[in-house]
Amino acid sequence: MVYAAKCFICGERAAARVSYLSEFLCSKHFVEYFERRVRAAIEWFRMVEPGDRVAVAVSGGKDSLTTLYLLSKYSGELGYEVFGIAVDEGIAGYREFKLEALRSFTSELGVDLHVVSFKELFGLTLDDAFKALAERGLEIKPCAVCGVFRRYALNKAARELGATKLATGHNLDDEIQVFVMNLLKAHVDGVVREGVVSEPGEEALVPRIKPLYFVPEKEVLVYTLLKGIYTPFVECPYIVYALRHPVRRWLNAVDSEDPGVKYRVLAMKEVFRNVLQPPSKTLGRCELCGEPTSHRVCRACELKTYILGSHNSLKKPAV
Amino acid sequence: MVDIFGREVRELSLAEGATVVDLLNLIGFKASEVVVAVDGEVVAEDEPLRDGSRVKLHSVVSGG
Repeated sequence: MVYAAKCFICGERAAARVSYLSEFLCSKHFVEYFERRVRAAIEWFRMVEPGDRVAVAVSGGKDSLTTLYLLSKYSGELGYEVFGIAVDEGIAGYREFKLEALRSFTSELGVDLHVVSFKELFGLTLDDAFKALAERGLEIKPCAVCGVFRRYALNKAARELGATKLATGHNLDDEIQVFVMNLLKAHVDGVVREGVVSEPGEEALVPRIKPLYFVPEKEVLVYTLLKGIYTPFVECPYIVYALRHPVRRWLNAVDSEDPGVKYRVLAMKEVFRNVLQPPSKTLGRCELCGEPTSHRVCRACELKTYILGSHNSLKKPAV
Repeated sequence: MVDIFGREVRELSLAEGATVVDLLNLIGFKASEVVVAVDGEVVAEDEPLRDGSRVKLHSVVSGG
């Protein structure tokens, strides 16, 4: 049979065009290419070391499942342990489906999974928070609250479970979307902070690693489909409130016209990170919860207090 | 026949020699937003479509 696009290595039917190579690859060579690229990033940036205990933040989506799968695959050879941490934000009609797929996946993989919930940690679900925020005109978007609460929950759970690294499924698209959002908000600290590995610092903050940092989101999906890694297609109902949504559409539109532009944006992000001043490493402890923060009260406690409305005089937190 | 994210199935007619890209243009998707399987196999967007091809679109955006 004649196919329009053929693998540049073997001539078989192409499964994907890889913009980094400007070439087509068949399913077999795509999987090899993808795994080699992720492994190279893990080793080049020394994301893991023998003896590490690596917590993988897993949502049940394709990116986190791929991260967990590959970190688990290399764990024996590279000499570290892996387990998963999931956060149940309390989003009805969404999170339960993802958690179900996640439990089935980690069980097949033979990896432990720990679930922590917003309800247990903060006394409210994201659905509760949304109702309270909506009553105040959505001055703060639910995605901003979710982001702060998730980071807090993951770091706390990882530390308490003895993790020496916290891996997330952030891919190249996530990274450049956040970079553009930080530019739009003139948020310089955000640009400096979001690297492939976090700078070593305060011991209460578990160092973060991002094995999919150099891989476009579309390639992650191709990989999961070729490997049979299942994730249900359910969208978070709050996605419409995220600034990320229009930024993502714009970057995809530009990349469709000029394939490879996403790599150039990532390269510019790295240039910025190299010339900008790193943020201060001195952290104190939150006066309310004792978690690390550079402020008197951490963002999570500020937001919780604002949402619960217990301090009417409190200003809207800057997020 | 095109299955869009498992939510909607459409039957469409395309000109002879049409490819996956032509299909995506017709239904308003960008290549960077979807991964396409034809007759159960993941394919690149240059893949030609034939009469009776079963196409499934997978959304790149997982939405969370």
